[in-house]
Amino acid sequence: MEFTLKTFIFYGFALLTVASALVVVTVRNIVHAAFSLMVTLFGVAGLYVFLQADFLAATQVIVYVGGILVLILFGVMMTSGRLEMRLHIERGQLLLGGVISAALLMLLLTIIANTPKWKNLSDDGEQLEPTTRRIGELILNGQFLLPFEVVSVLLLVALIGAALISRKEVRD
Amino acid sequence: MPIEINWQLLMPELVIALTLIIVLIFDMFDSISKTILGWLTIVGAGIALWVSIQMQQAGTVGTQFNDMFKVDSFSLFFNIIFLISTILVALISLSYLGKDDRKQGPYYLLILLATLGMMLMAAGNELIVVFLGLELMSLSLYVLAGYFRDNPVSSEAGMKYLLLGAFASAFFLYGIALIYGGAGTTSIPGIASNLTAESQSPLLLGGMFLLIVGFGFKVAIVPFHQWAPDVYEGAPTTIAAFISAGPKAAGFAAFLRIFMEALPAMQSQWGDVIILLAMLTMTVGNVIAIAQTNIKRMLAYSSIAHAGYVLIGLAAANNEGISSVMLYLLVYCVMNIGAFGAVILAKTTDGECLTISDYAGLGFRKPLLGLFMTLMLLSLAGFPPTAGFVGKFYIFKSAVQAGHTWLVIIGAINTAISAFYYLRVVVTMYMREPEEELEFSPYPSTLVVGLILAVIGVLFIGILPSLLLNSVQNSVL
Repeated sequence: MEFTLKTFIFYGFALLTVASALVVVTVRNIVHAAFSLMVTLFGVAGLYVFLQADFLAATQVIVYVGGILVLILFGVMMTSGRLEMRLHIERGQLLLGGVISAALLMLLLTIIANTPKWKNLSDDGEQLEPTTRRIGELILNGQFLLPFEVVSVLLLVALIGAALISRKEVRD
Repeated sequence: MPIEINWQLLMPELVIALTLIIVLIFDMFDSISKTILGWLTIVGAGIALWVSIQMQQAGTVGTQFNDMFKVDSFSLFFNIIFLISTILVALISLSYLGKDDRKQGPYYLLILLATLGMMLMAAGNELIVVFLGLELMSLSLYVLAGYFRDNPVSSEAGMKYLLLGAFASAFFLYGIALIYGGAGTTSIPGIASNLTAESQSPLLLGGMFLLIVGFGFKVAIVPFHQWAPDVYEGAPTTIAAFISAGPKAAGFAAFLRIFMEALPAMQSQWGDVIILLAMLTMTVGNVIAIAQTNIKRMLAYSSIAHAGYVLIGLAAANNEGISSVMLYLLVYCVMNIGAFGAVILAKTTDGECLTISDYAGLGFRKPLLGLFMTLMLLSLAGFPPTAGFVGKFYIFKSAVQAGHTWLVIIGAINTAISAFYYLRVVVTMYMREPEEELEFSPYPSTLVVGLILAVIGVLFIGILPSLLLNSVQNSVL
């Protein structure tokens, strides 16, 4: 395999993702873990770009980094009241997690080994085409119009529900 | 490319959507009396019901949105079930919510949203649409279960329902993902045509079982039923009635559509699982119901057992099975809402009568309440001439035709067990003296109207089932 700049960046992102994920599960300070998770999520977004899923990459950054991670941090601050909460990892959890991770790794390696032909998109001379436009067309030209509309109603429910649960009860 | 939309096919859904927008807007104005919102809900659901019945009679069939939304007699019949449930629940809610203006708007809005979700589930011809309908319904129900925020039991019920329900949704979604991996599409007819006996991959099998787990949670099948008693007990009684009726029917509607239309080629795999689940669900539900002292918990276990009876019809997997399931779900919704309505009617000045021993002597002191309760419980137990008997009869008949005689025997034994705890309440009402004098509130007239409608439904289907049966038999998939 020739070692181009592209593969170099790819392995950089891969390394970043795996290393920061390791930090997430080993570090004892929950805030450090959360910030490390941010790096992991960014790394995954970078990998999506290499899969030519630019829309997914942008969504990953907006939803996970911008939304969920901030939510986690808020949750930590609101529940524990102090940021230096320490995490304890039991031996049993470590064993169980290790076994499951090893099994998942084996599964993925088998799938990778058994996949007959990897298609290298850049070799075919195909241009990197933004997917956002195609996704937008699929939604609005009718093919995925119904799910799109239903999701908007679903968000309305979530909004009303959240407002209802979190508002202060006014007593007369 | 312009999109062709046949609005006529979407009429029932559009009416409900329009109603919920009106409710949402009316709720914003302080000058409007909020009690009108409940009536608006009833009128909107009533119009949608009328439209659905008209379309069902006319035999309207068609698909919309690139085959994602399918209107046929099957989905229209389920629409009728959902809308009848919604109307009955709205009727019994009018007095239950009291005069507090702040409580009315979101309550009816969420009920309408849940109804819309159920209708999408029944008409979804695509797993993504079914999932979105399921989520729309579930999210509304989580909020409704915890609606009385000043009551910790209600909040706990909402919380529990949310956590377990979100878990179940994840199972369901993962199942869809695996089926997409196996069949290459999420469209229900597409899966059926891509699926041949030799193309079955472990992915499909895994996806199918995850779907069963997801549905099992939503319709409270043993061993995925643990949330039901806690949620029914904690949720407002009207909402317990709602959760036990429409959403269960919606879950089974999607269950039927996916398993009978998309996965008939895998029936040899899922058939036995359904039979096993049916036996477990009936037996566990009925046996645990005996030990209950709280009437809402008892009704919760009874509704679990009823899901087991429905599974008998599903296991039969023939046309009789489908039509008997549809008939049973209609009957079950009416009688279960009626039973919860009777619980609401038994309201003392300190609150609801929830312990079964509170009902001692009620039969003679409160004849109307005694009559309603007795009729609904007899129907749940399946005594003739009530609708419950007709429903069970056709379910058992379809199972015999499919050759599941053993399942029918177990079902019959379970019916006998269930008669014990249903009749115990009746016996307590008529044959035991009250331990203490309870002060009862006067009957709210809207609640009595709702109960009278339920009684009419139960007796009408029980005495003249043939009128309905024709329509049901024409509605099979």
